[in-house]
Amino acid sequence: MTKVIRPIAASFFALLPLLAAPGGPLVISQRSEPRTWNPVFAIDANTRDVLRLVHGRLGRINGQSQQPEPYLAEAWQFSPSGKRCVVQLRRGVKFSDGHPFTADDVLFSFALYQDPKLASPQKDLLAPAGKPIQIRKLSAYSLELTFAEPFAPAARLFDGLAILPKHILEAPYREGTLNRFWTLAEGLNRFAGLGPFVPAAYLPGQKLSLRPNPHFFRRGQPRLPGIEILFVADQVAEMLRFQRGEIDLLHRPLPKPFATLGPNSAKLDLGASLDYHFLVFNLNPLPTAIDPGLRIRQSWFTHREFRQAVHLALDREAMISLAFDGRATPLRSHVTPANRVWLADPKPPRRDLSQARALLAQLGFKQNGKQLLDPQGQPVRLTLAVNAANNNQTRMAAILQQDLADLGIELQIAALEFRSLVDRILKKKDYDVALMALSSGDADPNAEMNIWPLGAPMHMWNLSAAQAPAPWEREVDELMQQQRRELSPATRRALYARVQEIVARELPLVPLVSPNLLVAHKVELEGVRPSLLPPYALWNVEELRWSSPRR
Amino acid sequence: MKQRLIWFLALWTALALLGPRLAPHPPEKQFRTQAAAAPSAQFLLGTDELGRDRFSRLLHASQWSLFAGASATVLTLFLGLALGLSSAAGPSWWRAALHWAADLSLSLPWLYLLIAFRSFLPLSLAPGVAFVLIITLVGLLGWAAPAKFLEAAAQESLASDYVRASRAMGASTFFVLRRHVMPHLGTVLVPQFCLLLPQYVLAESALSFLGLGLGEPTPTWGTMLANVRERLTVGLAWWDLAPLLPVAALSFSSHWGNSHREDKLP
Repeated sequence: MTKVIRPIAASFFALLPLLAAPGGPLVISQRSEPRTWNPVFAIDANTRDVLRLVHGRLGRINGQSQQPEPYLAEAWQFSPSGKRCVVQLRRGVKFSDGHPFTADDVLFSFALYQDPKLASPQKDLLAPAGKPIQIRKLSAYSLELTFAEPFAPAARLFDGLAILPKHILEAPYREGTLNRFWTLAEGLNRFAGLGPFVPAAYLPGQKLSLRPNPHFFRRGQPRLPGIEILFVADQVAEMLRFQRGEIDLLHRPLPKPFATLGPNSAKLDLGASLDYHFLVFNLNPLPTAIDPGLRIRQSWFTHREFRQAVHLALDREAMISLAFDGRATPLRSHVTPANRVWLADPKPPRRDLSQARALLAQLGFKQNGKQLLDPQGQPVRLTLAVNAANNNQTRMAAILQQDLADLGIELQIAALEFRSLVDRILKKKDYDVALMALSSGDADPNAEMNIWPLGAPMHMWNLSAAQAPAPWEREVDELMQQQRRELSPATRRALYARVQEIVARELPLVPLVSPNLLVAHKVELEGVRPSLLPPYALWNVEELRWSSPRR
Repeated sequence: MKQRLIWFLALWTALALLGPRLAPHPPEKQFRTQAAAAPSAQFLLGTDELGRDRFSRLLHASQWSLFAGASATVLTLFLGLALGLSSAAGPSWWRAALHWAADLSLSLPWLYLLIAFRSFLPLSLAPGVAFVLIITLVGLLGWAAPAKFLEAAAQESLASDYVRASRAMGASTFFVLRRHVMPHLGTVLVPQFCLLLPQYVLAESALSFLGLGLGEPTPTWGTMLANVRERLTVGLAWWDLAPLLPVAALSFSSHWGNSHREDKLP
């Protein structure tokens, strides 16, 4: 009798997830394929977004409250000095292959992230002020973290650190083959993770399939029977596939077609995002072999007043209506209105051509008909480098061209392939001004530590600032270091407000607009509560579900 | 029917020459409050996403696109002819070398090579320089296929009895090629011209993507057509398709001229 009942019971339990979630996999899209299953080597946003679905972290930032909350950890407790933190782990949690999760996995993960030989992008994150965080095991389910100095956003760190399986990765780590171990195709069979999903299939160039993690620590979750990630090259193709019903959930779609989506789609406009578009002037000390014309042009825009004149001449409202179909917000600083806690001055900037002309006149620039001449009588001509593949930015560039023509500045647009553009800005330093966009991974100022401190990798307007910083750059650097150590939220806000004030005055980055965060999804998809922080509508992916059978 | 093709090309050339004079508005002028407007008395073909008069841009674009496309096609065919003939009539090692070079050229990942090439150029390219660059790049990159066709046609002619007779009478290779082979290559050259011209007109938009095109605010048919793609997501109006018209007309007239010419062949 048991011979008959057992297989029937086994089949019933195997089918249970399908009965609970009859809608088929959730189909989403990405611009490019992830490169690895190993977060230690994940350097691009697309890879990190996929890895969030298959790996667990000690804590995560709640997409709604934007505050850190325990995830694999049960709780954490900071000492009053802010230099020590005890983390209690959840008990009974298992990796997707059934192996138990303990403090050893956390210790091992920290060791990987902090290993200089692996050059993980998280290495600097785990060494505030250049001093690595010390980690010590207290018991099988508790750990102690020690910081060299108080570190205000410490709990937010946990969101960015995926916990890895020691029982699987230790051997390749010891053998020095870790970077080849979890490649996309080969890693499928030897993968173990703590996230809500696990990799199921991979079709190079087409799609990646994920299935639910059978040992996910939250009972009854994930509620979707799987996820399919399609690799779609651009926003137009993505939108066309969404309109045809081939994609279920779309992040940051093109604004114009977003407005025309029919009743089968739910449209969510969350207002200003944490992304910001800006102009960056090349204030770097120039190499000797550079075009001498660039030296002349740089002598114009090294003047703060020149940058301020450009700032005042820009018609941001036109950019919003023509490039973003009205779904963007004008910016006066790099902190967008989405960041309500940290934004110091929410007043939108206004266009003022007469003030812009007055600033240029102060510097000795003269108007000759429609052309602006520098104090030596040279016509003012600049070249704007822009990403050719970004339709919004090429449109903004055309608007900027006409705006600056009103000041007599002739702006030539050089649309470049994205990698060439980045290479010109970060390596060759061979450009006048560039139109760029940055996306903050977090609302906390600490997310900007790769931009504002001297010598930060994205201190792009002056990459060698650490050698000869301008006085204001030194002050910004000190303020950013100070806010990181400061535990009082009010004092931190005051320090960061001062940073915003200096940046708005000196304009190393001329802020333009922040596009609204748009999310579109099929109406049958329930539980969507998008966050302004990445991964937007997928931050609570384990709670998403279908309302009715579809396929 | 060859005349019809010539008439079509003459018409477009005239339009390209006169276009800028006929344009009611400067092509770069943005009427920001009238973006993506429908056709009206002020804007005959409506405006684009930035409020620029589409009709004026189309007329200006004809100048750049047609001359760039035609010049690049002529350059390609000239190169193809020179290399195809030299391969057909030259020594075997030269033929092998050209075959190898043609195969290499057809298989190279030009996209990446062009990206690398762009990084060596100065950031700002004056429109005139960009124009010459487009013609040269498009013209140089396309030589392999026409060269192969022309070589095959030349070899056929060289194997004919009258060429053997001419050689037996002491004619030089250069004389044979000029007198007996080249007159027969029109059957390859004209179809190649008809096929390559519309392709090359559109190639400009691909080069623009790599930063090698004319760039904003200069309009070309290719870049105007690239913008139509985004309109697919919101539903196309007939005036959105206006940039398609000259390209389609050019392709059609090229094809038409060529097919009628083939019909008349014995």
